[in-house]
Amino acid sequence: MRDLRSFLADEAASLWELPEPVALRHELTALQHALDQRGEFPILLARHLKNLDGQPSPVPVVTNLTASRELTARALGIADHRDTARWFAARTQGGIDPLVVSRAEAPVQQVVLHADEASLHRLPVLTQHELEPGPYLTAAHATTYDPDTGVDNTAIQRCWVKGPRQMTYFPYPTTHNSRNLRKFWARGEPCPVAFWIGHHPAVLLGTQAKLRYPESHWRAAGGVLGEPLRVVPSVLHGERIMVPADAEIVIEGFAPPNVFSADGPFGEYTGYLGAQVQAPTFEVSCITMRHDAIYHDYASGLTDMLVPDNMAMEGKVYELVKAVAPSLVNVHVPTEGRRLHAYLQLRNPGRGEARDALMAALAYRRLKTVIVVDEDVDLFAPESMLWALATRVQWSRDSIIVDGLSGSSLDPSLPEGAGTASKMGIDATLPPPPRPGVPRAVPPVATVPEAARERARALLAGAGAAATRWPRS
Amino acid sequence: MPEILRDAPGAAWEKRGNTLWIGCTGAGCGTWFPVSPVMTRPGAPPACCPDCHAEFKLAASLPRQGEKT
Repeated sequence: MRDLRSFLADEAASLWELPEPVALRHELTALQHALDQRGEFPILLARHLKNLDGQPSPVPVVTNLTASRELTARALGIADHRDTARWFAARTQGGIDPLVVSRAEAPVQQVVLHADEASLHRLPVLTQHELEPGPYLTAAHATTYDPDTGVDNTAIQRCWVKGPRQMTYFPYPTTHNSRNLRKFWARGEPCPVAFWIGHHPAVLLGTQAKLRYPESHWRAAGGVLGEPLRVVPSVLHGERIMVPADAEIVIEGFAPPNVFSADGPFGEYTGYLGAQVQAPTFEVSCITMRHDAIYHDYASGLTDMLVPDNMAMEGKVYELVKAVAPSLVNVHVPTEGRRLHAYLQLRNPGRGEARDALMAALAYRRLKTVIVVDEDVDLFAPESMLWALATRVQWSRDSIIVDGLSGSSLDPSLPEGAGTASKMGIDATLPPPPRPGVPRAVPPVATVPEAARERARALLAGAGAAATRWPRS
Repeated sequence: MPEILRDAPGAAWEKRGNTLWIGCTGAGCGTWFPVSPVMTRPGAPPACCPDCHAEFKLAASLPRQGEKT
């Protein structure tokens, strides 16, 4: 059985327990900004914090859990993180049914708090960036269900902790959780929600799988985990909303119909502050947690949050593009592009296939720029991708611009009031062969013989400590 | 220099590029923060200053979503 604790134990060598307390406001996030800039991605554990009432909190914070793509892939059981797209697409299409356990077998229900005891102020919730109005849950997985079918849906929602038992949460209007919310409200009913926090990265990614509606995230999480996800009926909602039995914390309650309040500004995945919007209000009825719960925080807009979602996107984009472009071999959604870029790799594409691949990927709402390349280009090396753009593209011939597609409302480049986005696909593949059976014309790349490369490796291995003082740019 | 397009009662506001910024009306605050045009729609909840948490309705003469200025 895998959970957050088993992952922290497995990756103890990559964990940095901070030697002194940090403030909940800004300081831990500032550390993550600095680490991102240095290209270093330890898991961070902070103890001896204060809760939102200013009292010493027994609950530590773990963050930067998924800032490393290599670490996150290893948590999933992927030997090479470059194989994520194919792996994720395969694992989430099948799925494994969850295993329902009793409350006695569910660590997340070791402590059950009701009424005034169910206070969000018990938790060490961070305020990450300047101009954010207060502490936000950033790793709260909101589980709701379709009232027509009972099928569950889970997605991460940002939640502003406005009071001990009240918060806003912001399901984007196009999301499945928003659809469920509107269905309940159309019936005049409050929407039941359970927010769960803290679990093994495989479960976190599995519940970020991009599914159809309605489709269970518990099955997808099991597929990614490689075993049934243990779930338990939530205390307030019972079997209508199951929650992961091995999570750290669950917050249960309702979103009353058509009650909105201001939410934000909030630092979003784009790296910009999303403007203040109106968001549904959530009223807390019950909080459950482990005896020694650990609070998980995602650093919004940093690699910690981008890596897991981008890996999940790679799986979805792989599935979408492979259906029309059989020569697809890999997909990468780079953190440098936030969630708006995707790179596709094809093997000997047929005529028109590169553009077919581009059109399929551009239809995915978030993506705005998609580049397709051949196998000799490294999807995971920015210098290799830029080399392909520099040497294999004539813009008038190889770029396509499509207007009026669905996009991300958080993209700050969108014109005011725009409901759709303008997108670009770039074909950076080499031209197809002039006729079947003839090799593609590949420009001669400047290389050196393998014997010379072997000699170079031997020389570098002998450079020793001197190499650490060489300039890096 | 941010372009102030017109005066209005209630919260001061500015368009900075395609983003609407609001000046808090809370006593002694004056914090400026970005606000989505959806907050200018009739029936929208009051804006809330991220600094002092004062709540206030936005001026009726603010440019509405999609309106050219």
